[in-house]
Amino acid sequence: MLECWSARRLAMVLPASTNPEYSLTIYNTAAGSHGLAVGFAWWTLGTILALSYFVFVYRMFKGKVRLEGQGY
Amino acid sequence: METLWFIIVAVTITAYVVLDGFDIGAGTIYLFVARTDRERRTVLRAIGPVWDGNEVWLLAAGGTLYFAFPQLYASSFSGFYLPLTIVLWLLMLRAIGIEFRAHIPEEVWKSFFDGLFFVASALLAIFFGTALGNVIRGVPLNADGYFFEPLWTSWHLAENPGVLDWYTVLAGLVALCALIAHGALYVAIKTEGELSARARSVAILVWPILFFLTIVSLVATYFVRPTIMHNYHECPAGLLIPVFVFGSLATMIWAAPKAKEKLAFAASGLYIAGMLVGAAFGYGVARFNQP
Repeated sequence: MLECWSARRLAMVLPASTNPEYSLTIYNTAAGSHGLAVGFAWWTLGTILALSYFVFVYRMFKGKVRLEGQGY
Repeated sequence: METLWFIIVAVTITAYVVLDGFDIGAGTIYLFVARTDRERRTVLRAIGPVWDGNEVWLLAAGGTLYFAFPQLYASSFSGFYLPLTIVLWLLMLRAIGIEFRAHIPEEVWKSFFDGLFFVASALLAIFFGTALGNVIRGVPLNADGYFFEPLWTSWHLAENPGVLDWYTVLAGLVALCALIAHGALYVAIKTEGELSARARSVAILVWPILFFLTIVSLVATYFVRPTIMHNYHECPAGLLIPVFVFGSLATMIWAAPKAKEKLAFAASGLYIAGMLVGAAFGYGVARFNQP
């Protein structure tokens, strides 16, 4: 199952209708490997922040909508 | 590392479609289920605190795409220049429709902003589906990895396709129906009484169309890109994805009439996610050799 999700299978990102050789894959379009590694660390941090915001905001506004007070 | 970033970008796009999908969907049914000013304000309040946060996932997807796959970003953003400009305008007009309505207390302007919100939401749903259709169908890339697509073509699939042809418009209609159901179920959860019941009946009404279009689009995808089945042949476990998609559809139509809106809403979200994961999985590497 893991092999099914491996790099070899998920490589294509934009197929070419002209010539299959021109298709864009994750390898011929990716940024440098050092950048990708550093970016992953920052991405993790940012995503934790974003997810906590989402948990917070959806909890705050959970339940049925009320029309009292200021708003739309 | 490339695979990891591919998964990150794919998950971000999926999160965007599922999250912003319900507020776009709410916009597509807005004029029909919310009839009085009170009801319209209720729908706007239901999506009010979250719609712009949901849209940030689109920025995040664009940002990570730009960061991790700069050449893909460059190529697709220049090739899809015309539709992207349209989508940007639609996103802005939709926001104006939502936010300005309460600030001009005249009926004419209220109706204008209501209409703007509806039209921009519906066209966005269609355009996002069309975008996915384009990416699955393929684009006329040249040897340098660039392309440019006109908006219209003869509707036939040719070597130099345009943004809109029968296949991509079909994908747009699938997206429209999926988001109508998804948004209607969200409105049903967040509201009460007649408004909630009307929203629920919209989801039930659109279901047969969604079911039919889903099947048509899967057959059409096989016709347009036969290689889409390659990964499924080699990894039959992948066939669990379509099973999952139809399972979600079945759950949706089972739960909605029983007023189990939350379950039905979760099912419509999973249906959308399943369709996207299925497309990503089947995307195929039939003629690709890893370096």
